[in-house]
Amino acid sequence: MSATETQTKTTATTATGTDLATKGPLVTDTGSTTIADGVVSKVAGLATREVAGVYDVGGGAARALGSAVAKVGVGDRLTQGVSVEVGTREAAVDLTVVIEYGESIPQVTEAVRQNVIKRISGITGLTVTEVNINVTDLHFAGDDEDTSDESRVQ
Amino acid sequence: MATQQQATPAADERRETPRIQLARLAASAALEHADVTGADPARTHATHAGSERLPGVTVMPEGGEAGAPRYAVALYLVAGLTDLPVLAAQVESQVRRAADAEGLGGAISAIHITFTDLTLPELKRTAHA
Repeated sequence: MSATETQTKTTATTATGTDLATKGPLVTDTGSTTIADGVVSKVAGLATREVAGVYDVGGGAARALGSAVAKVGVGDRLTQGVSVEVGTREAAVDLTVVIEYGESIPQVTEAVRQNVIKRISGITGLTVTEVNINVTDLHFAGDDEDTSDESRVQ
Repeated sequence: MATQQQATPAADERRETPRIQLARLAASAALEHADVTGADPARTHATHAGSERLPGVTVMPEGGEAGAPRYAVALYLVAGLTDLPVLAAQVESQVRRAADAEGLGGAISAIHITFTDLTLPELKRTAHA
């Protein structure tokens, strides 16, 4: 018998013969762990906001709605602008962000991508397959000042 | 003077099925963990023990033999911001220990844990990469 014929692959398996290595940390012989979409969304939203250069998460309409629901104490601003697809072992994330004017958009978005991947995989055990980022707006320092129109005539 | 030792009325009168006992001890054991902050906030998963509602836990018959049924326990939990797979393993361990203490360890076929929400700390901003 040749060396190739005698070579065997030692792989941990379950009682039913399933390869444990392909199942990830969330499925074991004695049960499974499921991470809800909302959990992944919260982590992604948190991770995005942690990165310097990100002014806010969510496009104009989402942010306006988020501010409104936050004022009445309903809904979760952390998940606005965040969309996720969660499987048993993997997750994909879509983000909409507003970046501070003057920051390098490629650098900020790459930092967001890496932080989101790190946080989600570290906290949930899921493998992040993709992080898509849509930069919808730039924030200027004076944008938050009160710009209510004052009529020139009375 | 004759003395009477009375059994605890609640324990004798309860006479719960193994399924209800498992649900009760699983929910209790899970909530004892410091990183588990709640159960089933959406109020969609619960076990009903008579008029009592045990939130965040369901127990389903799964396999076993006549006279020795087995059950799959499902928990729906809210967690703090921590390593969730590690937390799940710790909760599972606590539930199994609690079941063993009640003589029900052999009745558990599997423990499935779903984290439905997170309790988050204050946001922090880190340095730009």
